[in-house]
Amino acid sequence: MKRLLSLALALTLSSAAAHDTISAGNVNLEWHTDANELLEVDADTTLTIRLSLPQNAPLSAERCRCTLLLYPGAVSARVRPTVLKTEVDPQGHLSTTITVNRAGDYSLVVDGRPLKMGDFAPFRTTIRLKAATDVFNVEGP
Amino acid sequence: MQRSLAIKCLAAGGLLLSGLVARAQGTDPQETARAALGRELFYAPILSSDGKVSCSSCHQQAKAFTDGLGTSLGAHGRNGKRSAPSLVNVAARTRLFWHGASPSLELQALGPLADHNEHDFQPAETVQALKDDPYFARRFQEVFGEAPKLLHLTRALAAFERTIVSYQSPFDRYSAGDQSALTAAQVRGMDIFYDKAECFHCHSGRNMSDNLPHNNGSVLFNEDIGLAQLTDQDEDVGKFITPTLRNLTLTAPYMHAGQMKTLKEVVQHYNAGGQPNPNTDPLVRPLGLTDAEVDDLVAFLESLTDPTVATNPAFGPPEKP
Repeated sequence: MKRLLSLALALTLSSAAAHDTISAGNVNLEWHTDANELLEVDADTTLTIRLSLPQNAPLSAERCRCTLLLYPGAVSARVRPTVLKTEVDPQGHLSTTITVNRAGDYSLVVDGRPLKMGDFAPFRTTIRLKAATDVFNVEGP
Repeated sequence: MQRSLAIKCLAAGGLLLSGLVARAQGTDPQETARAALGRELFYAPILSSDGKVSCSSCHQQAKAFTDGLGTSLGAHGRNGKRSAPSLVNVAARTRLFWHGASPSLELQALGPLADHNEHDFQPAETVQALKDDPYFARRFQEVFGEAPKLLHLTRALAAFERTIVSYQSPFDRYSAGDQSALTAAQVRGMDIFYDKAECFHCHSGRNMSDNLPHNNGSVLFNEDIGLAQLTDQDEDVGKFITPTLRNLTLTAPYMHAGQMKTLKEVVQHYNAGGQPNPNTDPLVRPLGLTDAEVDDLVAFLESLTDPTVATNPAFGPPEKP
């Protein structure tokens, strides 16, 4: 039920909502989670990323060798990140399932390289995420 | 144009360097005597807690003074944390150890001697072992005019290591004007090295190293923090001094802990843009080399090997007295 509510909320959000869109070079990343844009502690959270090029031209994640790395707190070379398993859905969006067991701040590094050189500029950017136990009673990121 | 200028500069630098080394050895009999003693010490297993490990255990001439292992084995079979770096042309290096902790060969020599995973011999034990050995006690008297001391030991070892000079690879002959020294593939690979792949930013100069620390993104997470051991700075985690590219066909496996077994694996690593380590150097990025270009670049890297380095008797074990 909660997931359905979250999905409905996500669908009603503007696709260009500032808080969930990041630019990295000439690639834009618009991201959503099915937990009110948060991570839910001790539960699976699905995070979806839509890639696009300038003028909102779609960029299928199938054209990207994308790596997702999750760091607790800030990105640090002293911390071993979790390498997240990714899938590409039929719409060409990148998705992953994230499970954390502690509330707090997390950093998701998205490292993207074109499968075909010149398709787009390689990029690396960081999405700040917050994890909470009650994701619908917490102010979002 | 850029390439030919770079090659001319390399040739000039190499001549200068080899000239300086030759002059120092040729005109300073004291240095020659120190190097001769250093060569004997380099091959002497007496300088280890189990009496089995010498400098040459990890720095083997046949492998361009490396050991063919990912991480080296020390006294009592203990495993070290890093790969043994080549000693060829080590006189040209300004920062020694993978993390650049030593500015001189003399200081550097103290590290492996005392390291638990290498010679495992504390300074007092080392000196005592030399004093107790009649042959070396006499040799130190001959060369330094006094009984063995740690200072003399490191000066002798460093003097020998400075004699390990080698610039007779096909690339060197090509740089000197012999157009037949490189194959067509190697020439194409050289163009890629200096142009499309821009390897020369870090692998610069005659010895193919800028002597500076970089994180080359060889691993996603650096358990070995490298330069940060010295600086304690987050941005230095996983930075290691650029190794020479000389004699690569003799020095596999590659990287600071031997993570990569073949030259092709190394080139493919750089071609893919390295791992997304937070400290990966911005110069490490997807290169877009085709399979043929990867092969050409590997061919060029192979041309940096001077086969005489593995057989030159001047670098090998001294004859037993």
